[in-house]
Amino acid sequence: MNTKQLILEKTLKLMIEKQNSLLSIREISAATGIATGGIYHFFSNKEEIYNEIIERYYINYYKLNIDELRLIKGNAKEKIHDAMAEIFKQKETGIEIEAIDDEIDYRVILSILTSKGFVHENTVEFVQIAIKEFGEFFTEIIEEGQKNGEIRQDFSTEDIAESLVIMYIGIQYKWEMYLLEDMISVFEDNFNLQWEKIRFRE
Amino acid sequence: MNTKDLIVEKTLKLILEKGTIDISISEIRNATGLTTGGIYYYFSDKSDIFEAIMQKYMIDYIEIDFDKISLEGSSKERIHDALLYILHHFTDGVEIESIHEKINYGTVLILLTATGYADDEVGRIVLQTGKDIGIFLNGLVEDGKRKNEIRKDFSTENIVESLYILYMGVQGFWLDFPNADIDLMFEKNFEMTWQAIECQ
Repeated sequence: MNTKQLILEKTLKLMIEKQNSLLSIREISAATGIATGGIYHFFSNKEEIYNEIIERYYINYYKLNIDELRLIKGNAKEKIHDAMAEIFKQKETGIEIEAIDDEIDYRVILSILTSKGFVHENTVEFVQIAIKEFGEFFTEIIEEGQKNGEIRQDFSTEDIAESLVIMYIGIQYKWEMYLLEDMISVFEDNFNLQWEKIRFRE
Repeated sequence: MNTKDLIVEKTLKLILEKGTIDISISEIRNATGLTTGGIYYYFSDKSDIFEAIMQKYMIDYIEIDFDKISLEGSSKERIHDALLYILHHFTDGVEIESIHEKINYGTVLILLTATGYADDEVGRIVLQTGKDIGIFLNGLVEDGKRKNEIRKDFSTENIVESLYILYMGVQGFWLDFPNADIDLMFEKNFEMTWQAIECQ
């Protein structure tokens, strides 16, 4: 791991230990074993460290790899199911942090970074784009499913795509609030009922 | 408003304006027009002020008075009204008197989250309220099944979870898209959900 990466990871680790995203340079220096001067060699100030952490571990987390989801084969029901399951798996794992050996519940990182992440200039826009792209991804599948009589036609394609996005956000949000043990099993338990909402009707 | 409440509100306002909970006593002094001594007359230190903010805008906010939910009509209406009540409870938030313009309460939540996380009381109340919402919905769904308004071939647990996810999905969407018409979104999705769970 390069020194810059080490500083970022150790700083994040310290935030987790302190349950706080506000740290002093002195604390960061102690945690990394790098003198203040050494830290300033890589980052011009503390804000820059925070910004990189936010970009790597918060904004990046909300990125969805849609191209990968497009490779999923099957009918509309299978595609929707498999894409959702894949996304929940990724969200639960989070982004790898080498400097932390113990398995970490990524929700801890999310909640610590939320207030700082939110004020980062790109976060809101980024999250909105990711959600819109996810909706558009489903729109294509639903359109096809409506055409070949798998998905109901009495609601618009957009409304049905929206219902899937809401399901996704609902499960993730409930998980982030610690009201769910894991997302995948809740999704699996609920998928049949979710499908019942959107399946084709005479 | 008494001075103590004023300090709490002005500090929250400062947090919203600065977009961070990293506020100094001198900033609070400027915002309130009080001296440091004046502030310390009401609060022992800065974290004491933050505790008061957490109490008012997170802990008191999260708790739902379920008795206030009026339950009338069919199961469809009762479940609809209950979910909408819970949704509005959270999106309306706590009134902030000294801020006259309408603020999005989602911003308050987001900014207080990191501190809120470290606060055991907030975590406890979130879990308790989350559980209570589930129990409340469970009662409504069971009742609907007894009255043959809700289908019996899906388990109550399943139906409750799907209603719960629908409500939380709309609330989560509101956090990400503060200007979205969440009422319309809720109505459309509630209708779709109801058609899936009503007696066929």
